[in-house]
Amino acid sequence: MFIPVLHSVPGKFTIHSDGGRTSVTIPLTTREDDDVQVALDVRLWRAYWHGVAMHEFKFAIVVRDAVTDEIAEIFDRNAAADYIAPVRRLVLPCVCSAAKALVETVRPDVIYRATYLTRPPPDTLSKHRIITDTIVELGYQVLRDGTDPHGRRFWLMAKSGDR
Amino acid sequence: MRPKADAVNALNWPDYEGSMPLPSIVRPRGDSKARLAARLHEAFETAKHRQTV
Repeated sequence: MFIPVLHSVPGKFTIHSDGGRTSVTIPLTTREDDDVQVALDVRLWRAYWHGVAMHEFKFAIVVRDAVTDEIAEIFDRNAAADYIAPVRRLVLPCVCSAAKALVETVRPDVIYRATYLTRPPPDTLSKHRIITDTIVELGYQVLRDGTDPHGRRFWLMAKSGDR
Repeated sequence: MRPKADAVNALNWPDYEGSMPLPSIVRPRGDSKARLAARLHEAFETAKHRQTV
């Protein structure tokens, strides 16, 4: 059984930056015995796509077992469901708030994002639409979007007026 | 490396649509477990501190 550590969307974040890897880590839950910690890790990391410098936006649920000191990064919402159940409604708002903080800090020229799932079901895409809208509000526009050969939806976004 | 969005537009997209993006994206080396653990530890310590203040 996991109990919430997070009770509302944080108003500000601690931003970690390390060699082009800019991240925000938000505690979500702990297991009742306190031996397992669960957090949301939101990332805007420098990457290169076909030789073009850009930043990749992604987020993961991170699970740490304090007894074995093992860490797992979960990108599949079904695999993460049990760990985040008591705070599930806060996760997407936290992703969007952290995205704002990261993008406003880094101000990348181009942001790349792709679904983890291949052939993602429509209900999972609504989450991505909300994230896209959040980045649009920060002065970006979708430069390209589509489905890659693996069936993953992707978005390339650039600062408005930089097309 | 070309840092601007117009560099993306300059790509010949038909050449790439069939091969993107997994083989084509080059990421920094993955987050080390130690760095991730340190971020996690700090985040939980901060949350604990907020709860006790």
